[in-house]
Parts: sequence; C-alpha cells; structure tokens
Amino acid sequence: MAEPTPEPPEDLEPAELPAPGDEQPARPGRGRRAALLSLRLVAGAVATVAAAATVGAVGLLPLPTSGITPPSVEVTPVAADEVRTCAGGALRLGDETGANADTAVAIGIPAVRADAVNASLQHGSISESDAGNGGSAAAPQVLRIASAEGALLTGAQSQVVDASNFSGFSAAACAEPSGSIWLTGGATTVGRTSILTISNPTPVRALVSLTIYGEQGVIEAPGLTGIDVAAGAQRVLSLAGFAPGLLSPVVHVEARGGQVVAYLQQSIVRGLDATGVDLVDAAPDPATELVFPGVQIHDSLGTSRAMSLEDWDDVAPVVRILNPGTEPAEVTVSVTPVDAEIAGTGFTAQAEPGVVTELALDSGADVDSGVALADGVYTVTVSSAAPVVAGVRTSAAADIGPVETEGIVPAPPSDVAWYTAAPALGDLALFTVPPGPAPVLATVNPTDAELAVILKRLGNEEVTLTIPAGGAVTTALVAGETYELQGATGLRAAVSYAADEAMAAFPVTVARPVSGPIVIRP
Amino acid sequence: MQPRVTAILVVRNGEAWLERTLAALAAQTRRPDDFVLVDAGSTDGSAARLSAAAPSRVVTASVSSFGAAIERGLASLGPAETGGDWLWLLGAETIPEPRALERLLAAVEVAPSVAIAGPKLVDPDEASTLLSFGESVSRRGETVRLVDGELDQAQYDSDTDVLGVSSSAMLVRRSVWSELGGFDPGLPATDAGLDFSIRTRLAGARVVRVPDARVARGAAPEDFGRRRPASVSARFRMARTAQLHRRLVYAPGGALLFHWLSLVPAALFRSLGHLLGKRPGLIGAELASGFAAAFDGSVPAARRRLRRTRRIPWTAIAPLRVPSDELRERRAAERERRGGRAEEPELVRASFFGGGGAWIVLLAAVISVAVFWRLLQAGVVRGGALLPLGGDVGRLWANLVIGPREGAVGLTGPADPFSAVVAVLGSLTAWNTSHSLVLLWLVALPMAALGAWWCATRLSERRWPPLVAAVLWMLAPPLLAALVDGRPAAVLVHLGLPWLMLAGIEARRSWSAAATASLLLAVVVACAPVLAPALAALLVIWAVLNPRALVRIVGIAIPAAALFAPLAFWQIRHGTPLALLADPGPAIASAPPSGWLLLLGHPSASDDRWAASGAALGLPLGTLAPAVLLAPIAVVALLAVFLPGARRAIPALAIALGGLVTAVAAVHLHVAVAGAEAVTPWAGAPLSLYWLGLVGAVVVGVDAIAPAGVPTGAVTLVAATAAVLPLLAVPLLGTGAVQPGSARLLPALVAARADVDPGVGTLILTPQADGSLQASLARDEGTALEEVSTLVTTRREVREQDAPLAELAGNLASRSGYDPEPLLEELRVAFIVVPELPAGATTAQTAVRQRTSEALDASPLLTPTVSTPLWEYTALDESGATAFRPTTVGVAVPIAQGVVVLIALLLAIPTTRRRRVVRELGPTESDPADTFDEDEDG
Repeated sequence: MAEPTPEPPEDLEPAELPAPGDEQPARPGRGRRAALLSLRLVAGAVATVAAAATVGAVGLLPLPTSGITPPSVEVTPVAADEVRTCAGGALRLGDETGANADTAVAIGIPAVRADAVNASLQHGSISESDAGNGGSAAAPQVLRIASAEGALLTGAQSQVVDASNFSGFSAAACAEPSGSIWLTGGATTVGRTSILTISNPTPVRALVSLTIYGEQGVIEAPGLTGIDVAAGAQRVLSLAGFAPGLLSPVVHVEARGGQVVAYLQQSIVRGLDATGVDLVDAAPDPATELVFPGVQIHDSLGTSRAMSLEDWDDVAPVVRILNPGTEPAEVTVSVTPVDAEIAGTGFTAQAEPGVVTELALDSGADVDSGVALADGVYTVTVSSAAPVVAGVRTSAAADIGPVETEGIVPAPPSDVAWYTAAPALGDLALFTVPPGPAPVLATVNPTDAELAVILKRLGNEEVTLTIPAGGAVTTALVAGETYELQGATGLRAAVSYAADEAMAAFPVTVARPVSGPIVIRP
Repeated sequence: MQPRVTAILVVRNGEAWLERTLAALAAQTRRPDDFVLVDAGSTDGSAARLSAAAPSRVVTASVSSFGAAIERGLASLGPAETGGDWLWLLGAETIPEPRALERLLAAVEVAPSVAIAGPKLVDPDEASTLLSFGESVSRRGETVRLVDGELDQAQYDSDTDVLGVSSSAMLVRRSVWSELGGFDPGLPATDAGLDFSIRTRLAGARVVRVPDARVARGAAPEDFGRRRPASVSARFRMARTAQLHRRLVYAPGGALLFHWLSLVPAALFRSLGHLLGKRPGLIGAELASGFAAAFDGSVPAARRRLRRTRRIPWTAIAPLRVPSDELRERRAAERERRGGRAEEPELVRASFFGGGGAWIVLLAAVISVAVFWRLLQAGVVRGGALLPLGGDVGRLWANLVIGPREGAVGLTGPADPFSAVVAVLGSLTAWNTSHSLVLLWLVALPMAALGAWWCATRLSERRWPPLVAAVLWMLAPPLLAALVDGRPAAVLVHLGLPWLMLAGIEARRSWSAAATASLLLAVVVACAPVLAPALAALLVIWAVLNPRALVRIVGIAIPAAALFAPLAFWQIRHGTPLALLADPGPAIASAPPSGWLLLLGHPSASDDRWAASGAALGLPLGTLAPAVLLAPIAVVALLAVFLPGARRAIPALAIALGGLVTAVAAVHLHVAVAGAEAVTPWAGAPLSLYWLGLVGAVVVGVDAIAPAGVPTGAVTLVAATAAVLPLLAVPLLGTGAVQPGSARLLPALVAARADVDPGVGTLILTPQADGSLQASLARDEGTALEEVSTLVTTRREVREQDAPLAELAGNLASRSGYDPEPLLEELRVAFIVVPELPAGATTAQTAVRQRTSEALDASPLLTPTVSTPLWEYTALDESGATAFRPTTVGVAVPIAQGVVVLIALLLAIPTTRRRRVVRELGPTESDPADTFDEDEDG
C-alpha cells in the first residue's frame, strides 16, 4: 500500500537490515524498488511469524511458578488454667412477701460436686453478686486446675427448692467461661420467671451484650449492651425486664474483655402453685446437627391430663429452635426412643431467620392413644440446612386423675426440665453426678461405627458400654459419684433425672480445645 | 655587526617531522651561525636521525620539557660572545619557511628594545591557516590566543606589539634568556612562551610578532614529545594548571594566601560550572589542576626570579592584556564558529499548540476529572498499595538513612530507592505529604498523554500519529489497572517511560539528555526494579549502536546503579539477589493473569473487568472482548514492519517484546511475601514497557500509511477506548479499591501515644486466609508508604530475631497462661491491632480472628477499646525508648547517592541552545527527508 506514492530515496532505509544492497547508490530505479519491496516483505513476514510465535508461546505455554514460600513458625501457646464456674444457688426476685421485686435473693444452697483427674482441684467462689451472696456457699463456685496433659476437670450442681411460690429440682453442669453463650429456654409470660445470671471468673472486666430472640424476632430494649461484669463478680438480670410476655426466648450472651459463664434460671408459678424450677445450660454454638441425649418423658398420662388445666399448657414437651442466620432453613426433628419397644416420631418444619420457632415434640406422632410419646428416654436430633440453636423442654406432672369437677383443682406435683444439645466428646471425658433422684447417663452414638466405651466410676469398678452406630444406651448412675468415660470419641452423653417433682438434665461436656498451636508469620 | 644566531632544535619523539625540519633549517636564506640538536629522551628513531645529521652537535638530555631541554643545549655552548647574540628555539615539529630567520632578524635588528620575536605559526598542510600569532592574557589571567585557527588575510599584520608569543620558533635575545633564567620549570607544557614573554616585558624589553616570518607548526607546544595529540581534558588540565601556576607567581604577596586558599574551592565551584555547561569530562582535569597548583613547589623560585628581574610595573603592560568586553566578543565569535549544534539537522515535529498536543492534554484532563471526581476533594487516597506518607517532610528524608527497617524486629539495612522517590513526591506537597498521591492520580492521564505525545513527535513528523499515541498511552490498560488497583509505583513508571525513551534517544548527542535519561531511569527502576534487566539490555543495545556516544549512554545507568548499590549489596550478602526484583511498597498479592491477559496488557486477572461485566450480561466477554477491541493495535503495529519506517517500528517492537517477556517472567516468580501468600512483581510496569513498544509501532504504522492514517488511527482509538471502558467505570462508580481515605495508618489513640512516647510499637495481627496469623510490628504512627521496605517483604525465612515476636503473637492470640509482659516491654509494644477482615474472608480467617480477639480480650494486661479492634498495654514503661543513632556509613551512603543524583541533575539542566524546531507535516503531505534517520547518522 506504499506503492501509490512515489518514495523518495531517503525513505528506503538501507541500513535496517544487513542486506547486500546496502551500499547501492540511492537512485530510484525499477529494480531497486522491487528489491526494497521484497526486502520489506521478508522483514514483515519474519516479524509477523515472530509475533505469532510470541503470542502463541505467551498464551499457551504453561510456565511453572517458582520463588520463595512464605515463612512461618508454629507457636504452641503456654497452656492456661482450666476453669469451671457453677450456676450458684437458686434465685428469687423479691422476698417471701413479694416485696423488693427488683432484687434477687438467694434461696438455699446447691449441692456442688467437683472432681479432677491428674490435677489438684482448687475451689473458689464468685466474690460479688447482685444477689448479695458473694463469697458464700450459695455463690457460684469456681473450680480451677492447672492445665496439664491428661488433666480433666468436672463439676456440677443440683438443688431442691421447696419454698412458697418457688419449688422444684434443678441440676446443671459447671461451665467453662466463654465469650459467646447461647441459652435456649425460659419464658417471661405471667407466672414464668426467667433470671439470667452472668458470672465472670476471669481477672478481666467483661463487657457483656445480650441479643434476645423471641417468637416475633429480635427484641429491642435498652440496656442490652454494655453490661459491665467486674472481674470475679456475678450479675443477675431479669429477662422480663428486657422482654416481658415472651413465650419462647433464646438469649445470646456475648462478652468482650473477660469471659463469662451464663445460666438462665426458669421458675414457674401456676396460679398460686409453684410448679417447677430449672437451670438452662449453655447450648453449643449454632450447628446444623444437634443431638439431645436422655430426653425423659415422665408421667406422660399425668402430663397430658394436666395440660387441660388452666395455665398448664406449657407442660407439653417442646423443641425450641432459633435460626440466627439470614435465610430460612428446613429443620428435621427426630425423636427416637432408647427402648426399641416404644415408638418414636419425627417431623420437619421451617425455621424462619431471626425468629424462634417452638414446636411440640410430638408434632409428628398420631395421638390415637391420647398420649403421643410414651414414658421413656428419647434421643432428640435436630438437623438443619443452616446452623441453628435449639433446646428441648419436658415436664413431669403427677397423674391426678381425670379432671371432671368445676372449682379449684389442686395442682399436681410437677417440675420442668430443659435439655441442651450435647457436644461430641473426645477420647476422655469426666462428669460428676450431683445428688438427685434416679440419675441416668444417656449416651448416643451418632457415628457410623459401634462404640465400646468404658464407663469408670472414680475409685471403683468400670463397665463397658457398647453403643451401636446411630444407637443410644442408658445407664443408671450413683448420685454423688464422678465417672470417667474412656474411648468416647464422637459420643454424645447427658445426665438426666426424672421424678414427678424433680426433672433435670445436663450434658456431659468437654473442655473446649485449649488454644492449639497457631501458625504465625512474623 | 651581524648578530650571532644559535638555533636550538629540541627533539623528543619527533620522527614524523624531523626530516622536514632539518631540511627546512638547511634551506634557510640566513643560516644560523651555530646550532645544537637536543635529543630529549626520544624513544623512537629521532635520536638515530639526529646523529646521522650532525653527530658532533647532538646533546642528549633525559628531560621531558621543552624549556629544560633548551637549557641543556645552551649549557653545551660556550659563554655568549657578545650582547647581541640571539637564540632561535625550535622543536622537531616546527618547520620554518626558508626566509623565516632572515625576516625575524630583520625585525629585531631595527628595534634594539625588542628582546623576543615570534613568527606566524601556520598549519603545515595549509599554509594560509594561522595556528598562532601572538598570545595575551585576560584580566583574570587566562591565556588568550590572539589568533587560533584563522585564515590568514593579513588582518593581524599591522599590529606587531604583543604581550607574548608562543614558545615555538621563538627568537630570543640570549642575554635576556640568561638574565630571566629561561622558561619557568613550573610551566613544562603550555604557556612557557607566554610567561617568558611577560617576564621579558616586565624586564623592560619588547615582544613582537613578525608577520612575514612564517613557520609551520606540526604540533602544539603542549603536545611536545607526545606521539598523538593530548585529549581535550588533558589539554584543559595543562592549560588550567599553567594558568593557576602563573596566577600564584604573578600575584602580589598580600593576595597570595587568598589565591592559594581559593584553589580547591574554586576547582569544586568550576566543576559545577562544567556540569551545567555539559562538559563533565573536564571535571577530573579541573580538580587535578586545582590540587596540582595547590602543591606546586616551583612557585617560590618563580616568584623570586620575577621579583629579581622586574623593572617596570604591571600597569605598564596592562594595555597589552585583552579587555573583558573584547574577550566576550572573541568567545562569542568562537562559539559561533564551533557552533556545537549549528550543524545539527532541524527538528521537524508538530507544534504543541498548533499540532493538537495541547488539546489532547486538555481532553485527558477532562476525562481525568470526570473519572476521578471522587478524589477531587480528597486529601488522601487509599487502597491497594496506596498508603499515606509520613506526615513530616524531614522524616521522609531521614528514612533514607541506613537503619532499622520497620515491620520486622532487628532488621537493619538501606531503604528502598523508591523511598527516595516517595520523599520527593511528599516534599512537593509539603503541606500534606499524602496529597501528592491524590494529585498524581488526578494528573496521571494528562501527564501520560503529554509524555506520549512528545515522545511520538520524535517518531513521526506528522500531526496525527502523536495524537493517536497520546490517547493510546493514557488509556493503556496497565496505566488504568495501576490507577484502579492502587499501584503508585506503576503509575510513575507509566508516566516516566515515554520521557525516558525520548531522553535516551537524544542521549547520543547531548549530555543534558543523557543526564535527564539517567534520572528518569533511576526513577523508573526505583519504582519497578523488575524492569531493570530489560532496560539494561535496551541500554546496552543502544550503546552498541552508537559507539561514539558509548560513555554517555552507558553513563545513563549510573544514578540508578548508585541508588540500588546499597540494597544490592545487602541482598546479595544475604544470598537473596532475586529479592531485588520485588516491587517496592507494600507487598500485595494479585490474581495471577493468564498469558492471554498479559498480551492484552492486563497485569492481573482481576483487571479483566470485562469478565464481570460479561457475567452480568450472561456473556463470556472476559478476555475475548478486549482481545477483539485491541486487535487493531496489533494489526497496525505489525503493518508498520511492512511499510516505510520499519527501521523505527522494529526497535519499537523489540521494546514491546522486552516488556512482554519481563511481564511473563515476573508473574511466575515469587519474590516477596504478603502474610501467607507469596507475591510476584506486579506485571503492570513491564506491561507499560510492552505497551510503549506497541504504541511506538502503531505511531510508525499510522505515519507510514499517510493517506489512510486518519481513519486507521481513528478506528484503533475507538476500539482501544471501548476496550478499557469497564476499567474506567471502576473509579467513576467508586467500586474499586482506590478510595478517598484517612491519613491515619493506625487508630488515633496510637498516634496520640506516639506523640509523647516516640518509638512506641504496635503489634498488628492480621488473620490470613489459611488460618495463620501475620504478626508485624509498626513503630509510632504506623508504617507509612516510604517506610515499607523490601528487606522486610522479601524475607525468606523466620530469623532468630523474629522468634520473640512470633512467640508473643502466638500466645497473645491464644487462651494461654503466658505472661506477655516481658516481651511487650522488650519490644516496646503498647498496642495490638487486629485489622478488620476483608470482604470474602475464609472461614479459617474468621476463626483465627475470633480466637485472637477473644484471647486479647481475656488478657488482664491489655485494655480493650470499644470502637476499634485495638488493645492497649497501658503499663508500658514510657522511659524505655532508646533513640536510634545512625552510623557514619549509614548517613554517608545516602549522601553519596544524593551527590550522584545532584550531579546528574546539574548536568540535566539545559543550558545550551535547543535544536531549532520547524513546522510539522500535515496529515497528507508527502514524505520529506526523514530527520530521525539523519540524526542517527549525525
């Protein structure tokens, strides 16, 4: 395309290639122009081929990447003391006469059992409490051992209260302080009192904030954030102060600074009759699979009859589910009896995000017999597409016979129990059984292989429990003793009590993994 | 009575001339009455030739100066017979015409007061060219040759009285010679004749030049005994040494001390002048002569001799000196005659205003304002590798001292050269150092357009191709990617490359351009060390192609080498030479680009914004759309090779290849570390080089297809603009990393503490995607842009000094029974920061952050603050600071680097006349002579 314009000789650029024609006189002639044209064509062709080769090579050739790898060093942290803090004595708002309703008062002293393996146990207690019992035996007990290989610590408390307008049996494991605690249980409707206790056993002040979920969603209320829990102190808060009239609260306790232990104590007064107390243990973090071992249905006939009484509808067994995420999740609940001769049930439900869903545990059962779930020990499993927290409540009520007459009906002896999902255990686990009626260890094996677990009563005989894959086993325990589980990897276990007036349970927990080694890139 | 004339012929390696000289002597109409041949230590055949001519009269003297050899010759003669004796001082290279002596004698015989007569010294090959005909001095004592290489038109014949004459073929009265003690031994090479003449004048005698006596001179007095003429700098050194010697000899006693003390300062000062005057080759000679004069032992004897023989005052000979105004005139005339640039071809190029350059820059400015409107009000720009600069200009510069580098414990070494670039940038906006980066972002597009336009005017003499180049360069994907991703170093490289090329091309003829290129190269390499191999290769090729400018072109590398020398020494000593290639500034991992993306000029996979846009439309536009839209560039660039102008297109494509190969190599080489990720040099800077070559070839192509140039260029421009629209949209919509931000690197609490407790440390624990935790230690207000060091970012292993920091970080990030107090005190850590997680953090990252925050919360030693993820160790002992004391070497090295840069800067300041620029060709005018090619020959 350069041809239409005649080219002056200067433009011929003889030096661009070491061609033999370099020294030719620059006289425009037909031959020379042809030579130059072909020279250019050759140069262009060479350049085009080179360019194509380059493009092909760059685009297609896979080249290895080499060079340095980021340096790192693995640091194994110095182990910290292991600490458990118990719930402390039962608390009542106001005194016997009902005065001073905004002050918590301790009633009675819980029976605390604690034990340690391969370590020396130090006892202490929370020194200051809103309930005014700091440092006393009724204050939350603080159990501590120096961390060591193979050292295990456990503690639990139980308490029978029989005061006017406050009666029942509660039991709870002493818990490890944490920065994030989920409590699924309680209610703040009329007659239901829920008291939140937050203890800080660490040497650092904790700033606690609460998120309360209800059946309508998250509760907005003043005072939910910036709750100051001084080092070694306990705060007692009434849930009704934040969210009155709530049927099914779920509380998320988050602490900055020091780590805390939180319990929810629920007490029930129906009419004038105190008919139940329980302590809600901390639930595991939201998960897609929750296992509740040892859920006891006791006095199912009496309970279903009691339900027809006024204000007794919450004796029915329920599962309470919160989906803290942002997307709805389908939840499958299965209720499986340990005893193969009784029928189980199961159902699915939709858990809307941010909202607490409470469902009757027997939702999926046919109620021909009038009693959906027969008496017995069940395993409740909650599976969800999204991580959820859940709790199970059962109540016992003595059978008072068919209610036929009008007028005042004496309240049946009754108690309530909240079950918390049990975490998967490691190889070794230690638990203690505080005094209470008919303690039972329920073990569930959600794994795919049969587990042979050695249950050893400290300083005493040991038995081997064989739990089939996906199965469950219950074992009677001796109250006041401490047991060690060996070979329990993957097992879920809970201790539960069941009597007409004394229902309670707590899961067997393990210490959260001590901070493991961490990779540092300095 | 006939005067007696003794000719003294001094020969030192004068074989080339000796035959002709002896013959000329023999042919004199007035034969010298006596003659002596002095062989002053010849090593060639001269001695043998002399012996053959007149063995009895040969004196052998092992001296090297002309004056000393004459003395030896005189000593062999008997004492003077009468007072009328004359000496005729000849060298092997002075060939007198037959009547030379006769006419010299005729001139002195009529005037008894004359003691010295000098002939016309002419070119031996061209007798009508006057080489020397009388000498004088200026007011300041510089030697002034009254005639120097002029055509003899008898224009000087009327005026015979002069201050002095050259020593060559000088006829001198023997009594005067003896009385004055001959030539000054302190002037061995030059000015001997002038000095002797001045002393003769002061002794009351006259010095004349004789117009009709002609002597051909084959070599200047300063070349006495040399086989080939002295170099320019040697000639200058001899002249300057002689001048200083004469100054010390002539000075009145009172002023002597002042003159002596001023010698070395004057030499230094004049050296700066040589730099400014683009005569860097004379600096060595200037300094050498200054020192030589300062330790010149011959001065006292010379002063004594002068005092003894002076009879008339200095004022008496003042009229014979050259007055200042006449001297200026002479110099101007001489410059005109030499006219360094007068012979150079005129520069044909488009004019900035008429040729559209101004309009394209204006357009670029408008686009820049429209796209970066978010930054108009901003004081600081953040994102990517854009960190704020340290607030204090003094600290910016103090950072260049070799000392502890921030970020790692106990790491001492030189600062990155980029820190110096940052210091310059920050000093430009001293009121808010970080604002310079905002301005850089705002002017990037217009500056790119300006640089490309200017550079392209050297490749094309038409109006249209430079405009194409300006647009292609300012909308180059690597530049826009650098602006979008926050890569200030790459932006600077992109802005600097066209000017570097322009100055590099000019360097073959101009010291000023070479020095400018050297400074630009230093900046470019400081900003992107990964370009060093490619640019060094280009420099070597350029030097080989221009052997006459070899020194100048190779010298371009000096400032860059000086800036990198300490860093290279450090890295090589630590066995990590590849670390030199690491990008300066914070190491930031970028998504590795495919080879196709690199070919399209996209430095990282995330810069292919067509992929995201295409995904939104459901089309696979990534890579494909820009490939189609940028194809015209490739086509025109390749076409250029087929067309006239291939001579320029081929080097351009070679540059492109160099950039591309560098980019491909760069993205496959991990040289630095950002937490858990290994980081390659960013491909942006090499791709700018690649793009430079492509744009160069496009300019040549558009220039060559002149009639179709406008439509071709327009198509190329429209397509290339469309290709980068998604990139331009990012800053417009504010969706990219680069955003107006805060000048704070760490929370205000830290800055407040640093004010009262300098050197206070902040431990920054950054959760990494793989669940590890990066621990780095910042001092004072945080690690500002200039404080980031590649010594820190390129560490290959955990050093011994890093262990305590790792131990502290690991335990602080864990629920542990560890007591951090001793290490917090030792490392002077008062704050711990756990930065917020970036968008798209992994689960492991979230978990490690949670763990770290909880553990820090649980530490009784640390006080959490509510608003920011910051913990304070309030108990830190405030008095524990130990101020850093730089070593002498640590300060001397950056100062030496600064001197090198300053020298280059002085040399770069243009002081000589620019080449004349003539109007450009219109878009369709036919091709004239290609000046670029002529330049190459010239």
